[in-house]
Amino acid sequence: MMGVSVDSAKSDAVPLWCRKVSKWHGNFLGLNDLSLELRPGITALLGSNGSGKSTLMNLISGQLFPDSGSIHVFGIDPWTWQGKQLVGYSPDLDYFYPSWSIKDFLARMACLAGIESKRVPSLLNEILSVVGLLSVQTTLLRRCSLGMRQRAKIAHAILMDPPLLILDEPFRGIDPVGRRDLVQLLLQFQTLGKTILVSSHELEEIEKLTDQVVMLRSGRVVSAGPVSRARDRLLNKPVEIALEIQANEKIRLLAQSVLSNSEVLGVRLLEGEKHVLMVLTRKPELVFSHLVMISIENNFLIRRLEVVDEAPAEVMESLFEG
Amino acid sequence: MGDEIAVIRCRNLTRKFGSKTVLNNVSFEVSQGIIGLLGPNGAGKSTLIKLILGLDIPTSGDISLFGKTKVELGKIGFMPEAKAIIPSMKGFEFVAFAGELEGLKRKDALRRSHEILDCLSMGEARFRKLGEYSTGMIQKVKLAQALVHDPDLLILDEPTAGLDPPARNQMLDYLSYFARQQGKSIVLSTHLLGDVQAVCDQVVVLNFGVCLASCSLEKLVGNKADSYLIEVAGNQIDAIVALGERCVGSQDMGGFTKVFVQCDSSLGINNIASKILAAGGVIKKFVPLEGNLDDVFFALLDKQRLVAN
Amino acid sequence: MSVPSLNSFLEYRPWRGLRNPVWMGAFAITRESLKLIFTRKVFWVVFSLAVLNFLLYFFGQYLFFWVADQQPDGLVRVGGFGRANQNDMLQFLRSVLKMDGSPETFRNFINLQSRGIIVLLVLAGASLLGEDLNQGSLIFYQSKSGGMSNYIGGKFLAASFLVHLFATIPALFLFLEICFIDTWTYLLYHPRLLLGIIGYGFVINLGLVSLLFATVGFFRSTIGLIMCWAGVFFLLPSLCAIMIDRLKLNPAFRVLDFWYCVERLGEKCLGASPTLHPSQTDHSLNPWLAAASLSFVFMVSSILTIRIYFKKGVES
Repeated sequence: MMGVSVDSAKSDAVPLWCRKVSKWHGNFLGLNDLSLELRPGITALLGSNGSGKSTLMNLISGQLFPDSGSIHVFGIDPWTWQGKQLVGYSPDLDYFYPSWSIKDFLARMACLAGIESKRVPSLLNEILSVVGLLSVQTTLLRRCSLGMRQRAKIAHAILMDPPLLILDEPFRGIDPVGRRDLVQLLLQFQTLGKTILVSSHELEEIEKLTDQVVMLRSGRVVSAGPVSRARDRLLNKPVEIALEIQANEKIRLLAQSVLSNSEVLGVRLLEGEKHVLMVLTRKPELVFSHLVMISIENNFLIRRLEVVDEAPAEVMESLFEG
Repeated sequence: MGDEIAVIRCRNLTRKFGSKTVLNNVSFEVSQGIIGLLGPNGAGKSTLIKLILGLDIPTSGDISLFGKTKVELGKIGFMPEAKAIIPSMKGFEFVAFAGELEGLKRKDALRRSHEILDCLSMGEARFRKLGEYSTGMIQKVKLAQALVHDPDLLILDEPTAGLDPPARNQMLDYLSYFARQQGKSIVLSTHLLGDVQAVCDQVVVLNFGVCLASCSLEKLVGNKADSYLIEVAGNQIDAIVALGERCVGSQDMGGFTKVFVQCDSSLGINNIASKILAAGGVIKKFVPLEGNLDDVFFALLDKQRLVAN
Repeated sequence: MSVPSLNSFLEYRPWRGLRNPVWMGAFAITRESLKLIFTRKVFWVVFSLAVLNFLLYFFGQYLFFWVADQQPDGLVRVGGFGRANQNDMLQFLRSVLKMDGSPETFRNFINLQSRGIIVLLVLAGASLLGEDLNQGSLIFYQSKSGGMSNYIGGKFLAASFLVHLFATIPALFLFLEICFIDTWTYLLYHPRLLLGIIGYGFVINLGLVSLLFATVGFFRSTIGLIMCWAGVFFLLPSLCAIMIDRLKLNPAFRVLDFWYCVERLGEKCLGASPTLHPSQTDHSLNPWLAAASLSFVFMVSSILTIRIYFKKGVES
């Protein structure tokens, strides 16, 4: 039976909709009352090891059943076969038969998925060219590099052309070239209107993919949405602006005049460096112009002016730590 | 840096396995510091590492460490990429064991083991069995076993693989500590270009067995001193108009605009800033456009491919 | 770049102390491998069986000499069960159990003990050697100063220690026991026996350990090792039995039977007479052929070991 949810009219259009989902692993609480809604596009799922990322992904791909709460993928429970058709899943570890070639692997998976055998060759060609494995399709999986394996797993995930893709650690251990190709592949999927949930420890790659993040900790969502919002919500602390000028002995004078601004909470100089001024404030947008003005008035040559921990990767890092 | 003895010097290094050339005429020279060894799969990195460790013999060419062609025992510490641990051993025992293999006396090895694990802030975990360790702890123990005999050259193969961001930053901190404050030389082989950009002084780029670049990171990545990225909010259009031809490109980010600015002298920058302010723009960010290792790396690979065709 | 957030004031300290010679590392490897084996349950099971066997022989000897020393009134008290004929008992101990301090005693004892060694090496051999190959730990040993020769040396010592712990050392104890309860003239009359025990120990040592190195290198897992050793220790003997007893082929075909060769050589070391079924005529293999067969196995195993462990080149 397909789960008919109370607000199914609403959740029909939502790629992924979780409400109050909990999952126990024996005595260990994997997910704790988790509610989440995904929008189309790429969303990153972040969290340290053991925070419940893989559990969540297994639940969404219908391999686990939640102990409480409900999950809907386009309004359908992913535990049912109708639901499973809508989700493509690429696991974090390799569960391959190493002696098969990429093509064998995909052909057998296609048979298992119930695709007509007539359609399989053309479908495989199409999918292999999408993931860029067409020229190496006969390589045995045990001889494949990590990058090729990841792409084989993604090819497997998109066999049924699902609108929702769940990718667990697709960047782990891949070399830079494979990494770049994978980022491009995922961005390409995004333009096709797919919804992608991707987990990774490598924040640089996530930064290239998206600024929509879901942060998990101890099985709970600590933030969902754009990185900047996560920052504002979670790190309730003033930001620091780095003002780099051309080395100048009078930097202390500059520091004094910066302090005259009432929005500035503090100023510090980096040890041993005569050209960087760190300005602490809660309202960077108000302080920026003032800083530029002061520098110009006093003939300090600006080299650089930015909020230091604003880059998504940095924000996410501090969320990991904080 | 330049006047010291080269830590590693390779001259026309070639290694063939049958008809397959894994390293082709590789020559480079690096000095003390953290050396990033970059390259995609099959670039010949692991073969190069084996040659440096003296586990393999080059088909032709030679390699010298600290100015000597013969690899001196106990001068090198190696942290393998594979798990390479004995699961039933306790953390500190394993490190001491590595020390004994390098010829330390049992007592010295145990003392060194504890010292280094202290240094890497491994607390009570050292008394647990390695089989129960998390990835981060295993990486630390592997770093410790490479350091236990106090080598001058550390060769680290993917030390940050599989680590979450805090653990990874910690590992990078340790590396820069050992290189900058303890004077060790570190060869860092990694797929994560971000790691290299964060800590390395020098970079060696390999692809298909050919050395594409070997120089300091700054030189490779470069610093385009005359280009700036300015993020402007407020009265964006007026600000861009006010910049005139100084503005070489702009990108509307919704709410603010990224403006790329070219200016010849540093005096001009303040001019530009004041122009933007005068036009009612609000400056959100003002950074010199630095080269990105990613871009440079892929440019190198692309160039090689073009030349080959 | 952030400032290194090193814990504490415990700074790294350089170290420039005196070092042991590089080959000493092999002993560390031996020690750690033995620790590894001692933590395995299978070791203690096999070890306790071996100890029981040792005690059987120990007290069997004792009984033999005690019975022989009794008043020759023909009857010996056996606990509460009554009395047994002294001559019958001596006869039984001498010819059936062969617990009379003769070369056959030691041959039987060592043969039995080496069954235990085989079981132990088969079940624990993979954790002694195979896991390093599987987990890619070899590079850890390779990159150390001593390199692979230390590794092979250390592991060889560890496996050899196990062999001697089970076979040679208890056999020497038995020998010593007889010296004490008989007379020290026993030593004078049987100097060959003492050397024979040690010689047999080393034959088993070389044979089994070299076989272990080569097979572990190939199969790496316990299951593979069990299959292979089952072939060597069950299939080959049966094959030889069929060829020689049924098909009446030349008895020299027994060279194919690795374990028979080891035992035959041991027999020769101890100077014991071959065991025969009552119906059999003496078809024992020429000890020189046995030695040749064994050295062949040893050489092939060594070559394989060197090829597996000292392989240079690209991985995967």
